[in-house]
Amino acid sequence: MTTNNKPRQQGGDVRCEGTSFQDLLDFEEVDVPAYLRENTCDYMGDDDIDMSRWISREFHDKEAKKLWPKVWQMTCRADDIPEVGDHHVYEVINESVIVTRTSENEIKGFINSCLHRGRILRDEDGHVKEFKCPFHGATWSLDGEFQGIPCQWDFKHFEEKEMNLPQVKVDTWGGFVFINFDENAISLEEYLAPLPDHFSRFPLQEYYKAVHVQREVRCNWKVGTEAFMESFHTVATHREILTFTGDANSQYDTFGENISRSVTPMGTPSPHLSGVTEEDVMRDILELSGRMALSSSEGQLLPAGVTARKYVAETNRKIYEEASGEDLSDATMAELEDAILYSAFPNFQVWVGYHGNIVYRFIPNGDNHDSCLFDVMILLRHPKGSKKPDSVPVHKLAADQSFTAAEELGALGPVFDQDDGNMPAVQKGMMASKKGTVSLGSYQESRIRHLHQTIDKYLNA
Amino acid sequence: MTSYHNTFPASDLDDNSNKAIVINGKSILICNSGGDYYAIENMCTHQRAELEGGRIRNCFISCPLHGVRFNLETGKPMGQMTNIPLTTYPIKVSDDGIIQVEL
Repeated sequence: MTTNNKPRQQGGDVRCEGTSFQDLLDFEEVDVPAYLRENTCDYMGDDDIDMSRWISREFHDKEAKKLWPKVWQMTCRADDIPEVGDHHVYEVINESVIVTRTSENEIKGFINSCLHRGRILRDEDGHVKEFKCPFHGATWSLDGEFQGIPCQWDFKHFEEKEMNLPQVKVDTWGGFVFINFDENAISLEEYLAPLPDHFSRFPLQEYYKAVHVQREVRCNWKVGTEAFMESFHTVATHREILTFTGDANSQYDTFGENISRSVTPMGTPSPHLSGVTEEDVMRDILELSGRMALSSSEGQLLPAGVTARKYVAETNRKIYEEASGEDLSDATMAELEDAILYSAFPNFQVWVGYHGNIVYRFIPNGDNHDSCLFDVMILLRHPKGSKKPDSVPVHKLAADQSFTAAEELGALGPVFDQDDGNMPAVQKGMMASKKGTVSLGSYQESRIRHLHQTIDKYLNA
Repeated sequence: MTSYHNTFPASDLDDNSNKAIVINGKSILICNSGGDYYAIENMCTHQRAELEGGRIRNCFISCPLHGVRFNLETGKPMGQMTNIPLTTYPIKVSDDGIIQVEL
């Protein structure tokens, strides 16, 4: 559905034939919230993109200098550091920050480097009552105030120095803790707009982190991020989910510089297939999608005249209501089952949903341009009034382990393994390329172009 | 030859708490994490500080001195401050609710 007063759109108005996401919204039986009706992907052109952006050391160094010091970046869940003194050590390239709970309602971020000889103050996540450098014992309070160093007589000159720990900006949204190294950065709220508004039906700060898996992937962090920015790859990479995935009918939207989303209808067959029955759709979505409330189709019979999309939505509605203790009668089928995935620049991705929201983050693995760390989390609801379950600690897989080794990922494990079959191979293939550029689908890969346009804004600033 | 030693009632130890006890002249730390009981040597392998009073979360204890974390089940340390695991001891709760440690 495009209106005449809309600016020129990416790919013109050419979209895959068949039922679009907006068409599916017309079948909703409850009011459709405005954010779902948004359908905007402003023209960005079709120029090829130079591969040096993914494979060159120089480009990585530029990002280290001009991008990472300026952007808001998601570090952990506030629930990961529930008590005063709990901290998470957040590292990006050569930067290290201690993200610490300093009071019940306050989290601070300190540069993780001793002001005496520079050793990192905290090697890893944990809990302390003060920050005591393991090397010579220089000590700071949880608030970052200098408490002293052994043999004070030898450090009279410290009295004239600024000895409190330098801080970074910290803010939270949706129960996630973000930091920004730039003291002049705009507020997180402004930076993330309109994402918080679009998530107003999903108070993620009330969800708890039930799954957290991290593994190295041997590719540039952008190769990883981009693997979750388009559904075009489903036809070749995840063929088994096509019966219930409207892959080519996905909608791609961009909002300002930092936010984009893809909306992939589920419970409806791919336009690449024909002759798929509603029973096929239902059976496969329950067995294979990895994010439906049921993980088995056993005992599930499709009542006459009910579409699989409707059936799965109603099944999810019931189970999500039980999980959250909330009335979800105003939830749309789209919100109950579609893959509505937002990204916040540069590397934070989060799914819309009432229960079982997936979160992705790809971050450079130390000072390496060809290796990154992939974090996947799953956020769940708990019944209103019940005690919130603890945030699970991160389960770190070894680089050579299959994602299926993390059993808590369920059916998502094999899907990530399929993606992992591509990500390092993309990195390798770009190194071998003599063409030297990447070409993108105008519309389906528009979010990748959007990501790179925003990167350029930082690098050219 | 090892044998199980009676210590104290399991009901004396709240979740996420710990208590040291001397058995055969050795200080052993008994820990409760989520209703599971663990027995470890009560001495950090980093700088020999007592672990008693260290915070327990998710089957890990943090040393009160520098915060080194050890897995209560395996004794394995996290981070770079030490690579030496803690000694762990078999533990069970008797039918009448007494924690017993094998040493």
